[in-house]
Amino acid sequence: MARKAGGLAAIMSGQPVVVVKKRSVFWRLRHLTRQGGLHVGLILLCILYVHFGALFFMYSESPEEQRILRRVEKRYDILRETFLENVNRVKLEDFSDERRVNESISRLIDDYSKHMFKLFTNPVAANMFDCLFYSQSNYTPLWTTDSSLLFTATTIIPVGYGYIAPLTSTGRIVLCIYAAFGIPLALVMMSDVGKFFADAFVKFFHENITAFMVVLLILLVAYSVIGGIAYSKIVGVPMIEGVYFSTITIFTIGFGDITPGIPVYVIIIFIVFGVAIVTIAIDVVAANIIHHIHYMGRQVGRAKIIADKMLSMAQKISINRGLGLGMAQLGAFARMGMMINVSAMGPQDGHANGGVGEGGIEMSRKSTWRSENDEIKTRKSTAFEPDLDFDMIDFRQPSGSSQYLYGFGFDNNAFGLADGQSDEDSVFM
Amino acid sequence: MPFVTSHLPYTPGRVGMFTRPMHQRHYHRREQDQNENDITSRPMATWKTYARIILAHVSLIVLSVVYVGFGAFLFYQLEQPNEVEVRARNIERFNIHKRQMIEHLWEMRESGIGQHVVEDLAVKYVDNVTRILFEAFDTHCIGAKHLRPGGEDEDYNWTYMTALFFTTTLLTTIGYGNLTPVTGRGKLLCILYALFGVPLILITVADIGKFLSENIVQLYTWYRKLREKCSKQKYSVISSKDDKNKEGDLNLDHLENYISIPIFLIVAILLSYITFGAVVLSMWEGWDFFSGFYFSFITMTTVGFGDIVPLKREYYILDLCYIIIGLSITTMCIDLVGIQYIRKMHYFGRAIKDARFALVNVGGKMVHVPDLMRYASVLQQKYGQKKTHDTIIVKGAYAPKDLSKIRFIDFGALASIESWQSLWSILTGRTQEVHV
Repeated sequence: MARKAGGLAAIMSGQPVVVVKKRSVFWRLRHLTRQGGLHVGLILLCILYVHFGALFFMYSESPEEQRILRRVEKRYDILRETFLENVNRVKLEDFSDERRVNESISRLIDDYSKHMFKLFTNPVAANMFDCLFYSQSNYTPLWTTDSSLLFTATTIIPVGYGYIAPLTSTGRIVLCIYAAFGIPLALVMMSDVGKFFADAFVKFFHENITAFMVVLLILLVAYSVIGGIAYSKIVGVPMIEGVYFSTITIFTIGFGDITPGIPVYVIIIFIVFGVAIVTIAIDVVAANIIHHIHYMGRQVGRAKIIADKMLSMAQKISINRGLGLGMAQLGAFARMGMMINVSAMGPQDGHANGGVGEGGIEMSRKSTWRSENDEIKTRKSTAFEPDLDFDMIDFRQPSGSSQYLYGFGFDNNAFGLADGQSDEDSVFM
Repeated sequence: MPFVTSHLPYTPGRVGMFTRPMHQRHYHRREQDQNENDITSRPMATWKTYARIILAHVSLIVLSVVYVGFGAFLFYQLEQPNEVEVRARNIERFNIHKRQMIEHLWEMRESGIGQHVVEDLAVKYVDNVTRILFEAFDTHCIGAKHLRPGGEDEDYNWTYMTALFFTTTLLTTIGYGNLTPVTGRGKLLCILYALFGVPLILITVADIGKFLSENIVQLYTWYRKLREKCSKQKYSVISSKDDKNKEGDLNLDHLENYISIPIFLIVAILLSYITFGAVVLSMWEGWDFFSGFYFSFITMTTVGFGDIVPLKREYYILDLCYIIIGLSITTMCIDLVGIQYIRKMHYFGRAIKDARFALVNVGGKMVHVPDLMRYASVLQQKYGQKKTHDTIIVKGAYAPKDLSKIRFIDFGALASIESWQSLWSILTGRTQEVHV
């Protein structure tokens, strides 16, 4: 109570206090360091998180992979030896009846096929046969430094190719925990970086959001196509396959049906920037659409615009004029605050407040978006309309609703949603 | 990419929730006004109001469902013939090789070639059979049962139901990869389909998520009010001044309620849903509990490795419903919790702060903007009354037509460099705030 009284007394006195602060080079450097330190730290934290995760998964999953590999090799040898022995036995047993021998060998081949298909479903076995038949080389492990790094990076982004996945229960548990902390971290990092680019672009386009949206979508498509073309040139596959791979990657779909034949760091950098571009595009374009759709049919959206304008004005007051808050601005601010508060009260409270309350109710009614018929009905239903005393407002203009709403110098919304008349009526710019 | 894009720092419902009581009261009053004027039109107006609110959301959901269904049809038409062809070719190749092997072994036995040579040839044939089997397996559309005589036409990968599962996991950016387009036209369709479909599904899921988050906020507010009522902390209205102060407290309290939804509640909701999904999926697919949990987690975060995927096709529709609801819940959690931290981190180290939580320097005293609003309310009472009185006295004074266009500019402030710098930083901050 005492604090409020003190504050009120200070406001009523209206004494401006101006403090001029000198800015030295040292202060500027320290300011920039503070400003950029968190962002750089965030990026470094992401890099370290990915690398340590890669090391952990490699050392956790490699022994299991080796064990499975030995078991698979043994199983394969057993199957081959058994098949050969059975074929020899059938051949030696009954060599007079050709049809019966052929049927027996055919059944043996079918059994062999069934067991081999069951063996192929194991990812380690598939990799072994892949190296054996396609590469004609020795076994290449699934979990190498590069593949682990790609695995952890595409887990937290979250593309999720699935080239390799944890085989052990321990690996899966750790992966859930790793992703639970890593995905928000990567999200924050990419959103943070993307927002800087978005702000720079908005400045570049002089806050023309529509042009920014169009350029952003073109940039998105161009990044995908150019990345795809570059990939197809490097790896030597058709262009449609390259564009397909890059599109599936930067939308974080990540089927994993195409194995990248380029270095891991290159593909990770491509993913990070691609997902950042998609992030900016969705942030700018979709967020606006989401807001419109969600609040369509309600009056909350309109009230949100009013609240945003008021908060922007408060921000301007606190920063631009700071201690020099004048009585006129405070009066205007008080009226807006009164409008917000009064419209939240019930009709009884409104009437209890007398003329000022009635005026507030009237103002809040007109500030709501309505058709003319509703407005006429509302005006007709009110028996007594007191003279509303607002500074710097032309009472003789016929349409009053926008006048009351924008007479206090609201700034234009950057999306151009505000009424065009607000520029004309602004008295604080 | 619902997880990445749907939890982006797009406009949160915070300001909307802050102004929601005003809207509710206002709607109530408007209803009364309509009742006074024309009683018979009230049911129609109410019906129209609700229809207008619901129509946009329902249209969005219907559009998404139609898009997914039509895409499934297209992919089925493009990929199914290719699968039939690939399977037939590989089975034919296997059968040819099998027949050659049998005939050759018989001939060798007939001709009486040495045992050692026969064994070497047999080993070579076995290796060739293994290679052909692996190549057939690598096409992802052939199993052991298809190689059996008469088993060629069983269980094709691309049916309409599996195509539906594919398109949904494609557009939600989960992308298991167990089923992918192989033909060139299928891949081209996949590119265009994802380019337009991913934003559409993102918007739909985010819309549902925002709806859920608003309901959570409302339920939590009711819960806190109920708890306060149980603890018997009631405030009595003594005078109009106290009533006005209570009004300000109510606004501030509502704002605080919104901000301070506990994180553990959100995490509990998320974990409960994943656990529920793990139990249900374990029953459907025959997995153990942890495999179901692992699958649910990988799906909700849209990582989608594809090492564990549902195989029972009769449960695909239920799987898709679980996935969509889960993604909406994930979006809701990020909407409630994530936006704050992203905004704080982005503006860390800057002078410009979010105005609704900023300290305003008024007369050398630091007050919060909500407090300033309350001061403004009190000031309005005295100030407004005073001006009303003055207006009555000077009613006949001349008010020029263009009075509202006259600008009151602080030339001294604008002329200085600091003022221009402040103006630029304000524009920058305002722009950034708009994008948050």
